[in-house]
Amino acid sequence: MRIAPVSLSVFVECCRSAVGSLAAHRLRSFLTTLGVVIGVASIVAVVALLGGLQTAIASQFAGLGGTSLAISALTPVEDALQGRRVRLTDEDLELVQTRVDGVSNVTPLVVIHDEIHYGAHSTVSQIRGTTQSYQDVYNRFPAKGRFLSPADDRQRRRVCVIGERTGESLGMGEDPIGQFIGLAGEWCRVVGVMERGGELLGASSDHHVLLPYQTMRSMAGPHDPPDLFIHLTVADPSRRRATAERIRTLLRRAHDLDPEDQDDFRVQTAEEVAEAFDAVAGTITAFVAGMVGISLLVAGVGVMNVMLVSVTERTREIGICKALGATRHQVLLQFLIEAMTLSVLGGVIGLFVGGGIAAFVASLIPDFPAPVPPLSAAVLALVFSALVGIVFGVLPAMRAARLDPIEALRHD
Amino acid sequence: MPLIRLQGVSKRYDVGGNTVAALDNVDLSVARGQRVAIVGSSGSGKSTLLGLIGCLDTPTSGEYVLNGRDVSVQDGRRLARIRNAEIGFVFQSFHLLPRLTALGNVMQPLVYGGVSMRERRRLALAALSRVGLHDRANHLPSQLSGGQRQRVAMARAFVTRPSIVLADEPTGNLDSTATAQVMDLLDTMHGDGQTILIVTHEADIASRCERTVELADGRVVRDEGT
Repeated sequence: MRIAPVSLSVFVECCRSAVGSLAAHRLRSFLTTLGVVIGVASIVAVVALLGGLQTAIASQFAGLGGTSLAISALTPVEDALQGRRVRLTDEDLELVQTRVDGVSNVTPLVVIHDEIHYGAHSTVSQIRGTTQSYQDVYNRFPAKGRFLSPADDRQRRRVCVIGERTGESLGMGEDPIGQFIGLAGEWCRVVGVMERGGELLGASSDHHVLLPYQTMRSMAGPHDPPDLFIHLTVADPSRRRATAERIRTLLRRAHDLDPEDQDDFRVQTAEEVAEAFDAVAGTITAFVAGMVGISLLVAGVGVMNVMLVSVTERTREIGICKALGATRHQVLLQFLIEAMTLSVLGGVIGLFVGGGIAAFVASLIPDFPAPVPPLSAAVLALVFSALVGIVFGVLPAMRAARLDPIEALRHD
Repeated sequence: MPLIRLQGVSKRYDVGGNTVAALDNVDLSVARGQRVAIVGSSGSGKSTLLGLIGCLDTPTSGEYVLNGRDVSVQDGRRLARIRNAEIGFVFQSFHLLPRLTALGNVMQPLVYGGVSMRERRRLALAALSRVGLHDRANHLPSQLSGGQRQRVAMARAFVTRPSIVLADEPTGNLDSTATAQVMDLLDTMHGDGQTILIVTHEADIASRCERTVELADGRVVRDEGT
């Protein structure tokens, strides 16, 4: 079948007429398009929320570039089942600091959660023991005051840097610097306030206390040592793999592992951590996309149903248009545009509703990064809803186009 | 050469295995500018004839030449174009598009003819002026009286300057005042040289036409005033 050229004015008139006939049945049009709205809204919401997480993770690693490595303990499954947990130790830290060439910013990080107080206020906060190079590794710097210095660490000073929100929740006022907060039975002087930031992995952003690593070690006492993470920067990015291998050899020897034993630690690059998250996000997105595919299918059947009703209702109108000289193509076009308008309208509404849902959910969860509505998902949602309109609009439109003009004119 | 020439035209339908001839071997020629009344009882084949002349349908057999073109062998798309360019319809029950204003209705055939927006507006307003409804241009059909609706339909029929206007019982749903207005309009159009075919069963309308063709059982049984 040859597609007849359709002039622009016919196209414009078709669009106008499509909008007019949809507006004539507002409630019906709205209910029909609801399925598309729900489908598109759900995919946009999920993708926007995941996009926010991914952006937050990416920004967390942005300062690290391709040159950073993270070492963490990895308890083999059999040991975990027996209740044993492997920890990295200070000896491991020292090994990495002293026996690996071409690395800098070797930064220990221990994390515990404990109650902190100031005056009559108290709150539970994450407490991190670390050293000066934390700033470079995490790309976060103090907004007020100073960061922890090597001297603080060496002399195990009772000083701390707090997150902005920590100061607020303790009611410390505008300038917490120089004040003392109590934690684990000790008083620590606040020397700095961190800038706002959206850290994510293992952290409520802006709500934490940073202590010198050694101070934290001494305060922890003889208890079970908290989990130790080691971050470091490789000077030459091309030697990253070799450096990771060197660390692996050192730690395996230090941990007395036999050749057949698996590593009880993990040396990861920042990208690997981010990739692991991306993989999870990808799976979730694919799953949601599948669900949305089904819901759009159902929505499409709804569109088709209403368009069939509409064609029947307007049989005589179609007959009139044909008598006035409308070709099959022009009638087909008009009904296709109507179906498409219906579903694309749903897509557009769904886009905004989905964005709203994402923003709402993000605001419910504390410290959740702002959702990033991805342009690609928006475009995809619109293309998909248009496609639903075309696919499910073809049958009713063909039926309209094929009507016999004389029969159609006689129709009541 | 006549504007319309039907030669041996038949239209047969299959009804439950039996073939019924709605039109049986009809010969009819209409010269340009003529006004012809087509009369006959219901079921005589008037509507079928009008459908064929109006290119809404094609004959089962026979030849139909309209304006020098054999239209009995055209495909659907060409027939639509011919309807748009050559034919103006006036129906008994007006058949206006309910969601379009009077102006929109008159512009509609021009849309299918690919006339530009500005030109459509100009032509349609001129046509509405001719039927005396210039001031009702933005009214919807539901806001117009029956006579006004039929005049809008007439403006729509001749806005494209068609070769023929086909009127199917144009006054069948109108009161006497509106009937007089519609007939006067048809007189005016005829005076301007417009070829008009009117299907009617009202004697006084037929008497205003210089030629009357009577159908019975699908055949032409009387043709007066040729």
